[in-house]
Amino acid sequence: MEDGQLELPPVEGAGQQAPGAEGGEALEAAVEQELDAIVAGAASLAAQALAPDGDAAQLPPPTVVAPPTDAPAALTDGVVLAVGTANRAKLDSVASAAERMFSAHSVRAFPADSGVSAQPMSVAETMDGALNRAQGALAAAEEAGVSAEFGVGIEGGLEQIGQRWFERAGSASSERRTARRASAPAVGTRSPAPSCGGSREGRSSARSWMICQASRTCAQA
Amino acid sequence: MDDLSGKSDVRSGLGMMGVVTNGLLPRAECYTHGLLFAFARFLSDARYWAP
Repeated sequence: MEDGQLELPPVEGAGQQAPGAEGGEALEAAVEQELDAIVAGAASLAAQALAPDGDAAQLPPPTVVAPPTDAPAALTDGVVLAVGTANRAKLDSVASAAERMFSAHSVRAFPADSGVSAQPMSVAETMDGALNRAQGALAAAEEAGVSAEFGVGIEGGLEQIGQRWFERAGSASSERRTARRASAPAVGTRSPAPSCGGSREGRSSARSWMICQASRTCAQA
Repeated sequence: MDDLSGKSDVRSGLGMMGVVTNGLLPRAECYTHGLLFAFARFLSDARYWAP
């Protein structure tokens, strides 16, 4: 050993003869076989994941939520709806809604008073008007000897949000058999800027006049 | 609304909602949605409407 060189401990096995050429080839073949198996398995999994409709049938079926089974019998039989208005557009709306709800129905007009101001200026007042019409229609139908299952009311109104006014419609239903009532506000849109001309003449201008009065934007109010 | 839109008797037809949506959402359809909501408690399971 020359100076400056460290003497390293002998490595175990060093200097021994490596496994024979036959043993090395066998090991190499075993590793290749193992790799082939892994690649084949991965390819099979990928093929399953990408398979379109054919294999989808093997997935568990989706959960289906059953419709309620305790719906009142009246909803499946012929239903008479007493509507508290003679307005054609409102009656058509009730008929359209009834088409979706009942397999057989009859829409009858029994105009009823809303019991609120001619131009409701809040959602609460609008819905009160709708409920009053529904109740009134049910009572009027009964007086007329018509056995209506539901009274229906629709009322148009305004709602102020910030400095702006929005058109809102309130709808209500009243069931004769249980005396249960329900109401809901409908979607609404912004009411165009009023131009009343300071007059209450005519239905259209009366609405504008009321908006002007409430918003205090009308110079002629 | 009649003056503003230049149409006659808007109230009995499209309504203001129909006019401002250019006829895409007539008033009658807005009413229909509200009516379905108003009937909701009679259409669905009672557990949704507990007092």
